[in-house]
Amino acid sequence: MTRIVFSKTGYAKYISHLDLTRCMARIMARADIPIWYTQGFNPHPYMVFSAALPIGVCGERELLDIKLVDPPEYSILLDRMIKNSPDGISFSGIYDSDYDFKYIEKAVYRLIAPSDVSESFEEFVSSAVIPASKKTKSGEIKIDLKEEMQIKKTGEEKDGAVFEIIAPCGNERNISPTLLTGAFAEKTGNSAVFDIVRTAFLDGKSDIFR
Amino acid sequence: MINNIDKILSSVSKPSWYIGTELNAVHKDKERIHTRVAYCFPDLYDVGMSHLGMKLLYHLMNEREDLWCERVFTPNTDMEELLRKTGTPIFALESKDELKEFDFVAFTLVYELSYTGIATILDLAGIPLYAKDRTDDMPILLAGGPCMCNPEPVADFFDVIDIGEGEENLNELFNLYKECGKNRHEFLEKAKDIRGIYVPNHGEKQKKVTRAIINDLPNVYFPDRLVVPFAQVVHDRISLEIMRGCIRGCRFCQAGIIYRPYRQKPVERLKNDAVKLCQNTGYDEISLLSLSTSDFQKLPELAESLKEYCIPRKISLAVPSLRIDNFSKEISDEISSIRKTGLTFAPEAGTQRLRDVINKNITDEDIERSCKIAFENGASAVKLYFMIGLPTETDEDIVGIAKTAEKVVDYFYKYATNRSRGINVTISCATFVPKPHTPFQWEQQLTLEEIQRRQELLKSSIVSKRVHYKYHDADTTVLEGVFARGDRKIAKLIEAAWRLGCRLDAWSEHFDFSKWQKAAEGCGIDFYSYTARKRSFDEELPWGFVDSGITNEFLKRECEKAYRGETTPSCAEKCAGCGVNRLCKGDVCP
Repeated sequence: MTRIVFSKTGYAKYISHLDLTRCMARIMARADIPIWYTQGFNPHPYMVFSAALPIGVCGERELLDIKLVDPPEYSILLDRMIKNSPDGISFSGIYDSDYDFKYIEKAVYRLIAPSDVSESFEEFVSSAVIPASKKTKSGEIKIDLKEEMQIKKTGEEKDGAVFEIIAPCGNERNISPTLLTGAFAEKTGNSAVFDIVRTAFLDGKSDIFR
Repeated sequence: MINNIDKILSSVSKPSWYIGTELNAVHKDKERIHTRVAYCFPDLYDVGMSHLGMKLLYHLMNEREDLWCERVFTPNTDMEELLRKTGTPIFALESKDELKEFDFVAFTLVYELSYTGIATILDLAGIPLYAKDRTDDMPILLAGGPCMCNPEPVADFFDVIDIGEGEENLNELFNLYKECGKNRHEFLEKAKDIRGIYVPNHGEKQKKVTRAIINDLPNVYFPDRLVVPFAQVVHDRISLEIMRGCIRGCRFCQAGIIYRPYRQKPVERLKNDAVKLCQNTGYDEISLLSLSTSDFQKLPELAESLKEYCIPRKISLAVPSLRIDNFSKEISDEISSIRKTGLTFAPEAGTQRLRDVINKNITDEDIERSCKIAFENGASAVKLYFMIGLPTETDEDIVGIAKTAEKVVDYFYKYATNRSRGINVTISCATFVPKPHTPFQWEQQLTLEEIQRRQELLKSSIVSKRVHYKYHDADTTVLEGVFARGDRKIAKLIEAAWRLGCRLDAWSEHFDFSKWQKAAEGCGIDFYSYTARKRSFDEELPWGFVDSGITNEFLKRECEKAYRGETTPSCAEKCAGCGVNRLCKGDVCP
């Protein structure tokens, strides 16, 4: 399998996952990537994404697996993909990998709380429990974000306070950092916009998933 | 640039409608631009981004180095609410600047029910709706599009209205704006001299405005790229315009008149355009666009040459707008060999008598012959377009629609190679709206009650379970009729209805006829005086000053022939003398 490393930043963070898959297929077509098509009544380019990003969250190191037919050198392909992508979507790596996405267990996020709410946010995340409700296929369930996530303040920037969040990510269990900002907005009535970036995936041994 | 964009985008549904960074969206350095245009489509993003005309003119304008054209769509109701709540003005997608900063705010008007979108956008921009209420420092309001062949209902809103084909005169218009050094009064006065330009609210009223027509369609500008939306839109594919105009002369059809003369593009050019568009967009579908695709003389050659490029790349080719009378085995093969699309035909009327009245020159034999070809090639779904309320229509004609559809079912069982799949015939039925510049422009339109009675009659005439019947709401049709043949009084009605909360009227979930009725009452407007009244040939019509190129004598002659049940041959067979060639250089007609 050919693994591609890409980023989704700026206004592109507002593109839904479904729209991203369509966008990727078009990037591949424009870049003339010899991508393998599924066989069947309605063939489509074979692509598997590591994990969907919530709308409004950027991704710095997102992963996409494709299958290629007689590919030329990878560096040429990478170059062509970069040239053919819209603003906010870019590519930084291409390599072979058989390490299946099912081994992804967690994701690391960088969250910047804007200066005007950074203190109250810090206080909020240090409470003993952070109740939230999560929509699932079988209805809404109550969870404690404090138990699900590791939240740690890592510094200050001119835009606000920086936090690192490690949360479950993958097919088995997926907890979005937007649940945390949503719970904060609900509790304080402050709908500040947080800058959230997914920076990496982790496997079961908490190593960076590549 | 508005300052709370992230706050807005993170709270709205479908934020990707408002981000403006789609592939091929044009971004320029505004410091190096002379003229800025906010190009508005007065309906939602997914409809506007499906409209070829807007995409075409967006790129045409942006070809100019001195101009930056950006897009604006009517925000969805949640976005409108959010903008109002946060006191944020509506912004152009690319720069996210508010509309007041632009030189021009331009609207493309494609269907009448989008008119309240003009008021929504201007109100959110803080720009007065009426030209008379705007000051010199405000943007110049420009309108164009097919609806502007009767500009009067919205004329009070605009400073400049472009009637006809914008490719022909927009550059001249922007050159003039530059020459006038942005002097508004000088520009408006001189713009009247450009063909197709109507300046409705400045100085003396123009006695005649002649539609702008592209003389050299084979070589006219066509973009080699299109903005590719992130979100799925209604028509999410490459539309390749293969010709403009139509040789047929159906008497109810406005497009058949206002896009005259009939002009085809060369196969070679189309192939080149298609390849470039595929390479620059990554789309996996091309749809051929024209009023009557099967009339394109070199269709098999075109399809062959496109297939050569498309098949290895898994790009599918859609061929809509086929006619029954020249639907051939070759065309059927071309369609089915790439990817099967459903078959759609438009008999328009249920009996031969009425088809002769409207000059839809097809026969029952044509229908049988095309169905035979289609069913032998494996088609199992047919969609039939009809109209009710055409001039001289009787109940027999309505019942004829049901009978025609049931005959198609019979043809399926007679000719289909694989009968086990069954057949689905859908009747899609619109109600006739008399349109300006057509031979039926003087005709009366059915009243609400009569539309509903005939719809019920048709419904009860369908026996076969294989036939499904779809129809439009009767009340939207009445309103369309009012706008289509309206005069300057209609502007007040649009404003009043908008103030009562009318939004996005083309969407059935938003359309509220009772509000329109209330608005009409308040303005002292009687819908039926516009729609249900037969006008005499001598009556002065609101759009009478617009010269479409087609003479009034031709329209009257065609109207009289309709009542005698006489047909007129297509332009390819014999020139009917419509008069459009007066306005063209050289020999453009077939």
